[in-house]
Amino acid sequence: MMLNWAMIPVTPEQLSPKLFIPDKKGSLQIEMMAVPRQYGILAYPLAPQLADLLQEVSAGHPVLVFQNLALSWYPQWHYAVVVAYDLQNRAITLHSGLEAEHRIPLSTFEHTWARAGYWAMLALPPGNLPATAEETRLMKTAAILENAKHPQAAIVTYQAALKRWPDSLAARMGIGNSYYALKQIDKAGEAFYQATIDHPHAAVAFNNLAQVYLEQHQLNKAQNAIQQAIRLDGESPVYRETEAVIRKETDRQY
Amino acid sequence: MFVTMKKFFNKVCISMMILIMFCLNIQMPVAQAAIVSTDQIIQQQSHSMEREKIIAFLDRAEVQQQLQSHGVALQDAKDRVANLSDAEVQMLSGKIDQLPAGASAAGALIGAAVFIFLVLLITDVLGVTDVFSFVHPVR
Repeated sequence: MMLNWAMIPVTPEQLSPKLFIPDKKGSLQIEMMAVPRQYGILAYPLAPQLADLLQEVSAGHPVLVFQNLALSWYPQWHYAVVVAYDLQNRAITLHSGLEAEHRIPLSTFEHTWARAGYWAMLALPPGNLPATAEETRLMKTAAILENAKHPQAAIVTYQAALKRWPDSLAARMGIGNSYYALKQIDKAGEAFYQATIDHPHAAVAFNNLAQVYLEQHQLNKAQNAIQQAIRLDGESPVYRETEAVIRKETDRQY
Repeated sequence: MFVTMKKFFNKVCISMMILIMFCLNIQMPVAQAAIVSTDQIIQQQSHSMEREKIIAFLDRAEVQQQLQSHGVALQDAKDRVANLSDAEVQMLSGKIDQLPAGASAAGALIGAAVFIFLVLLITDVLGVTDVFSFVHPVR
């Protein structure tokens, strides 16, 4: 249901082998987070607060929640999607099982939600940011998307993040690394270069830029960039390694 | 006897995997090694990655094994583990037994004692639980 909302045509039958554990008669939260990214969808874990959940719902984002419908010593674990709420009547509407509109008192929902650790997540199409997004939390989910072979979706997320947090080093580097993963070296270089301008004290930016220059056979520029990285952070063995590779390549040329 | 054999077997397996990991690393193109990944930038760490890689590698095998032993088909288990990040694999490794698994269709309470049925009926009425769709909590 969440994926359908995010414009991904997929049936429960297709999802079942990716999610269901027969002996446990259910699905793990970690795998609920893992499946959307296979479709290039951002899976974002919400902070465990009712206020955040409601804020997302009013922003038009359906929220997947984990509930224990029964009792702590006799659990009945359950996933549902919060689709609406009504503060005046203190009620909340869930898409629960086959019921499209399961309306229950907010307090009942809070009890069932609290017993499952206030767990909630969003599944958003790339470029849509959570209304309650925190920078680090968002960057982590975007990096996972990047590593899950969806660098294109990750780039869109990083770009949206830069609009909200123009000073985000992780977002700028994420764009570069995603283009690098897509083997679009020139675009990766542009992003790393911009990172060195916006964050002149970030050694990683100079290191990754040096690597791109090396692959573009601009050895002088590569040398300068890696020297700057080492000046900023002499401790990291990674930068020394980059330097060694660049030096080897320079020696080979002459 | 069986336990020590198993331990020995595990040790051999682990050493073999470590060896394989090192061989794989040696064959990796040198030029690739120098990029610092977004993950590392967020976590602000760029060293001791080798050890973590080996641990993640072993954890993956473990999680796949656990999924299979809980009734997931071999190929599905492989695909599912491949789709997890290292951190997620670490969270699952050795814990699939204890972790709660939720269903999306409200399952019938098969085998529930009458006592539990009554307790849940009452707590449903009080609005503390939400098991039976025919019960509407009193306000």
